[in-house]
Amino acid sequence: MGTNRGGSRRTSSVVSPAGLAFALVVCGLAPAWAGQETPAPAPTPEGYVGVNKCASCHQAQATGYRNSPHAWAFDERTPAAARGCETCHGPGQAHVDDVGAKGRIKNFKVIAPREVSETCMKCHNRQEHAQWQGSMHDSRNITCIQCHSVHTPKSERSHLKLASVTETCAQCHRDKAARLLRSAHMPVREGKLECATCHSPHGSPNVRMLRTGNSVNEFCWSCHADKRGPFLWDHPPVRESCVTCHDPHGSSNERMLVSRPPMLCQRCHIATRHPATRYDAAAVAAPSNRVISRGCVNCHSNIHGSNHPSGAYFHR
Amino acid sequence: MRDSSKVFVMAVSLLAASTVAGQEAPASRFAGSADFGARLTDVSGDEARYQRFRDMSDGAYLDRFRLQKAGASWAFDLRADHIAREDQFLQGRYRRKNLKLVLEWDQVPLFISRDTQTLYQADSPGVLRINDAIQQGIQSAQFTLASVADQAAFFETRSRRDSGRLELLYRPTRDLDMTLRVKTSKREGTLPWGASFGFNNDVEVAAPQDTRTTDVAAGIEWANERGMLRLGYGGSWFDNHVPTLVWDNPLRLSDSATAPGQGRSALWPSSTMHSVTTAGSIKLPANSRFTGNVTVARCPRTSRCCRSRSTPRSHRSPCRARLRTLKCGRWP
Repeated sequence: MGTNRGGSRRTSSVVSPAGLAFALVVCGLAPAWAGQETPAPAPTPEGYVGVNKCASCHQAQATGYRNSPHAWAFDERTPAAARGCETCHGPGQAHVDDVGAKGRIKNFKVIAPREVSETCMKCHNRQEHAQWQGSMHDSRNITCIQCHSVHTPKSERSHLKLASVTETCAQCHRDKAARLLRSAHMPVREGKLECATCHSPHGSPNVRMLRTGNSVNEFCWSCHADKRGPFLWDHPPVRESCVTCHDPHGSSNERMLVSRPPMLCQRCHIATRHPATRYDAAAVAAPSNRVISRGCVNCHSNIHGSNHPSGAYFHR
Repeated sequence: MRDSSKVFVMAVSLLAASTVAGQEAPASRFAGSADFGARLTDVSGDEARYQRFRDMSDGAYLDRFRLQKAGASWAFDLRADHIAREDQFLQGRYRRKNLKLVLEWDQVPLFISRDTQTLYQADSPGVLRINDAIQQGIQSAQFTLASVADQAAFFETRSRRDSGRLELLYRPTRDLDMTLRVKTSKREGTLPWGASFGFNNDVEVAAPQDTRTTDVAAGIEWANERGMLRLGYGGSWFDNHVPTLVWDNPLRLSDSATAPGQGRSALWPSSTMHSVTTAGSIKLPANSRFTGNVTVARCPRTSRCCRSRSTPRSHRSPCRARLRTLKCGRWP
């Protein structure tokens, strides 16, 4: 096509203008905002021993802590701005006095799952974390430390125990992770999306822990706003739920359809003017435009809805 | 499908890190890494599928650049992947005592086919034309479609979504957050489309995509160990710059009683959506918490119908205008 806009270019020759602007802004702002003072550490109260004492034995954990945002003392919400290690683990004097004795300090590997979550939620209590208690994961006794590691994270962000969000989720949700490998898939395995792009693992008011909206459709529209309408002619299953026809985790059919057209359409359209014989096994071998390529959608191309006055059948 | 590939990669990774560690919070810290080299790939089979959501073309690459810098009162990090490629990603984060700033640029390509052919030329956005001589020749049985197929031009069927995102969090007090999130996405390119003149008669065309979606979310949130209260606004604007597709009938130049010379179809309508959200939660005894969310959303259901030149008057239907929805929940 002669005027295939942007369609034939394989690589960008330069970083986009927006990208350059972004880099300039960030690089310019960073030094300008760098003049703040670190608040002076508070005196150690009774029962507390301080970070230095903890680090003298637990060196690996201390290194992980210091390389994490938890050690940003300039942020008054971090452990570093409070009692350091003892903000989460509790006063350490009893532990120091009797090293090896159980129950002298809070060990997250042995305390009850609810108590683990409770400790983290003392600070992580806003935005999506506010939905944690009573969420799907919480109600199944999942705790923060099953996905996150404060001291030895493997991921670049979010202190995850594994290298990526997808790997972390795949520890349990193996069926969903397997579907990502099917031919039609979201760009998850290419690294452009991850499970947490759509799902909020800490809880959500939406179904399936979807990050936004109050239905599957409203969430999908946050990226696929072209399907939002308004349409003069609505296709009822589209209005009902996108997952009626699409499997967002991946499919062996084009466009992540749960079944190949025309069989997908025939799940509902089995009445007048849609005889099953036209699309049955014998017809698959025939060169019918109802069977090849996109099947019914060859003609019903506006299958998500139409604004054409004569678009009642979604073919224009 | 990629049947085989030979990938030659030269990669060098650099890592520079210095940690000046006091026993308390480090005074300053700097770390960075870069992964660069050259790639030469031989793909037999469908190269478009091999590169469906990514750019694996030959040449030099800078795939992974990381820079982290932290001072006593601030922290900054920069991530860049696949720089100067179709699928590049850039993100910068800056953090200080009461401010967090995130800037992001992301490109997601969708490469469908590189060996597509068509007789159509895009005269203007959304208008696909075939040489009149070809239409006339086929109408008068001088040519057949097969005989003019060699005049079809090759093109690549692909589109790309470019997204920019800004996130700003300001914290006037310890328990209060004010947030602003803005994301704008532009999608441009083509996708395969069945352009129908009715049933049993349609043509495959490359439908143009030229849309922009802008989402804005602003909120204020108070939270401490006992409870949380949030008030937010969300707005979404979707704008399709090509709302109508017009295409020539390859079999006819002029209209007849049974077939038109061109077809017309509605594409995706522009739309807006607004919502106001309140949420609150109170900590209760026995590991319990009471949480509530209420959202009032408005999606103005008004759009212009596609004006159809080829539709008989008797088949026209009036537009249903101004339908409104109110929903409870949280959006976005």
